[in-house]
Amino acid sequence: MGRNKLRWKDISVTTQIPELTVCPDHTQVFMFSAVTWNRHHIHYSKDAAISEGLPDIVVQRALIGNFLARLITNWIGDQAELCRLAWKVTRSALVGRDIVCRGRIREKKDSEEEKCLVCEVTASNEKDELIASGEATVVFTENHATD
Amino acid sequence: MFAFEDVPADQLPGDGSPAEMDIPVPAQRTVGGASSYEIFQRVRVGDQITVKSTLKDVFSKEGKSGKLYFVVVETEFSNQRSEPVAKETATYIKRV
Repeated sequence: MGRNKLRWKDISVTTQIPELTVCPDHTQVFMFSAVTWNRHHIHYSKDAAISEGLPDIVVQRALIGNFLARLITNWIGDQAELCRLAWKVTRSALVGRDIVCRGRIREKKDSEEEKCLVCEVTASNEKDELIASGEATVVFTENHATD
Repeated sequence: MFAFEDVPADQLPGDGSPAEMDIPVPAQRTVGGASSYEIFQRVRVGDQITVKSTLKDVFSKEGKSGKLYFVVVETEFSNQRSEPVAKETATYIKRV
């Protein structure tokens, strides 16, 4: 996290984004529901989740998005801003299982108005099945070292 | 300042999913979905943020295991100077 300062000129589409593995437990999923005022029962009741055909309590879509945001902000540190994040959940993420977040730079845009990176992001489960995929846009502004 | 207009539990859909989802489609279970966030500026200490959600679209598609209903909700966050701070477009999916 900011150990190696990210510099615009050193970045290319082959630059590696360090992956992030998280394992949201019951407490984290419960607390995320509480802080986001989310009372959907599949996020706190295993019985309710099973009644909806799910194997266990499900990790919130927004919490998965937070992990994807963390993947990017861990990497960019204070050197740039995460300005856009879009993701789609394609498979239920279950409580107590590892989630591996990965990113890849797809495009480096360098115009007079803006220096930005478009990155593909994914979250996979412990069986390496895709849970979510999306896109993150990182902008380097005048406040950041763009030289 | 934190002011949140709570929706009483008895006015939520039976599964406790958000009140925005309580629209009359013939499907109950909420699955998957998508979000797209745009962040326009940082929120600073003392800012007063106003949150406005709008139901933008409802449509259906034929899925592998029956019809899926998509509910699109746009949420705009603005500060005390009416400047946009962030915007989320969320797509909820309901199935029977």
